[in-house]
Amino acid sequence: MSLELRNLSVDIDATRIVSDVSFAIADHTFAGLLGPNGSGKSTILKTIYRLHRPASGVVLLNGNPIHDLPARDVARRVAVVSQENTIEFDLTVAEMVILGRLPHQRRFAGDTDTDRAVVADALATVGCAALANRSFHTLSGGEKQRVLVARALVQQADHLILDEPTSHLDIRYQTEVLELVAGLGVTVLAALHDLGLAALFCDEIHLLSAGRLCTSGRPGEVITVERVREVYGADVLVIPHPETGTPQLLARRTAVDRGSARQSPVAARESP
Amino acid sequence: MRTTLRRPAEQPARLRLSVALIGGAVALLAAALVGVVVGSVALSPHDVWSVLAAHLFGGRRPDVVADEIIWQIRLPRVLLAMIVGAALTTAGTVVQALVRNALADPFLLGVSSGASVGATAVLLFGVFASLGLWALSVSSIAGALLAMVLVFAVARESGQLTPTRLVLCGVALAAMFEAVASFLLFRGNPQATDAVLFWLLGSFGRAAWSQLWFPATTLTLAVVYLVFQARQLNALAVGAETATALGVDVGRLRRNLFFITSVVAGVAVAVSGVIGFVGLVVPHIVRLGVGSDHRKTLPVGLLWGATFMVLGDIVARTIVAPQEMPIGVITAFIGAPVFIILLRRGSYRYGTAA
Repeated sequence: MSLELRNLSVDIDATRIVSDVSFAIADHTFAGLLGPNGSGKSTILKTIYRLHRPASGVVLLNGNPIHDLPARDVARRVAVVSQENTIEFDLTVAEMVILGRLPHQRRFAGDTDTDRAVVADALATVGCAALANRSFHTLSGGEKQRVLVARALVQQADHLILDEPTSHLDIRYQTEVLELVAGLGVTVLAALHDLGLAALFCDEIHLLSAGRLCTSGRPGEVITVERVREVYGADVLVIPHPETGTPQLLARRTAVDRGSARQSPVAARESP
Repeated sequence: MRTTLRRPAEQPARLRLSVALIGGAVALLAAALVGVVVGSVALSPHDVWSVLAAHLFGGRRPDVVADEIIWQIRLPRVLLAMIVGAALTTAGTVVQALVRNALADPFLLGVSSGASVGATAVLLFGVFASLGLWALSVSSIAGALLAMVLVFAVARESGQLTPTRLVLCGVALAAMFEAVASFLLFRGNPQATDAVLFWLLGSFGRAAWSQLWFPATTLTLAVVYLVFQARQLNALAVGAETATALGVDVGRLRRNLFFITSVVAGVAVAVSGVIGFVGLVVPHIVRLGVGSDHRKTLPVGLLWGATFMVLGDIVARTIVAPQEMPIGVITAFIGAPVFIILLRRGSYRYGTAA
């Protein structure tokens, strides 16, 4: 349990965004942080990587409050792939990735052979070795995201924070990026949008609703029709994945007659 | 938006760092030599050499007139142009990374307008007259620092500087200071107004040995700090979230960068007036050459910025000789087309929508 949130509350501009959230993530677990837009997923992640400070409560890294640790030490333990991937200036892929070595480098020294070797390894791991000298701007969305994963890898941290790493990607890259991350063997906390995808990759899921932790558990326990209706306000069908048995969501239309078995209030009103 | 079809050549064509540095150093020396040789009084390179040799290595006293022109007038002028060119380029590079905006320049944060108010007050009304020759420098530095403190105070948001607020507050306060300067001009007498206008467009005409140490020291200190922060600067240019996640203290870094660029730009303005375009364009030319890694752009920018300014000054004092063109006119006139040609030729892009 090297990463733990204990009674964490976070305010932004004097508004409470996250209230009294507690959970711990076992080492080498892929944990998903789920919840509708505005439920506080990003805020929790940003508090873990110290962009925000807790109003009360604490984030513990190996039992130490993360906001009391030196920033450099935290950056060696916790790496982040955030949504922020537009850059104003032209960097090559290699220059972008080697930024991840920053917490390991001494201020007055240049890049070492180790730094360069680690970067080459990471680019090979994410399948982007051939892109090293390309301009980051010219990459596709999926390539960009994999390069940012490579940057997190060269931090050689044992915790990886992902803030909706797949939200702008095609289905192929969504699974590719998550498969890549799941295969790293590090502790992962990922805010995810797609419940079915989360169920497919996560060992455990923490579901947020309006800044509070609604429930935690295995994907099959957390993702149910009732809970999706309660938390997301959406009427869906949940069916098991044919290969893995993990819950998958099927959206439903509200304005058509679905027969007598399950009728939404709208459909009931409109049927003769 | 980027086109969906991918062009085959997406590797940016870049100079090797050694080529950029050595080429820059050679160009700077050549420009400096030309700058010392060229002028209203014709002197041969041999005259120049005998004067330099006499001062640097001792030996036979050279011709008194040549000595006066070269050692007391042209050489300090060339050196001042170098320092100011390097300073404005450095400040521009850093400001662009600080506010993550390619269109930012060192005067964006209000220092030049603040300095203008100070300088205008001196030239028109003789404020600080007791300081004699130093009055102009002291008052424009005072104006620049005042503007800097005001922008900082207004732009702070719960103790933090954010790029958007910094830009907006800088622009707003700069407009206000310019209004004050314009008002002073309006109230002043016409002869003094000419002096102010000339100063506003920039000139190295007041260069003297005694003026060099202050900008040189300021620039040196700033560059030493910045070179050691170059990686952090790279991270900040990519984004505040990224930098934070990489262990950079973003709040402190931004504050330091803001103060350093303001002071460097303020000092440059104080010794040479408001020389536009160099701080905007030269950083981009440098990035076209060696990319955006600040470990390369900062040292290369010093050399290229210095060269650019020395060349600009040569043009400024020869093109309408025996009169002098304000250097700001030249830098914009050369800088803009150079920039546009490079932009159209290279695969340079800034921002995501390029």
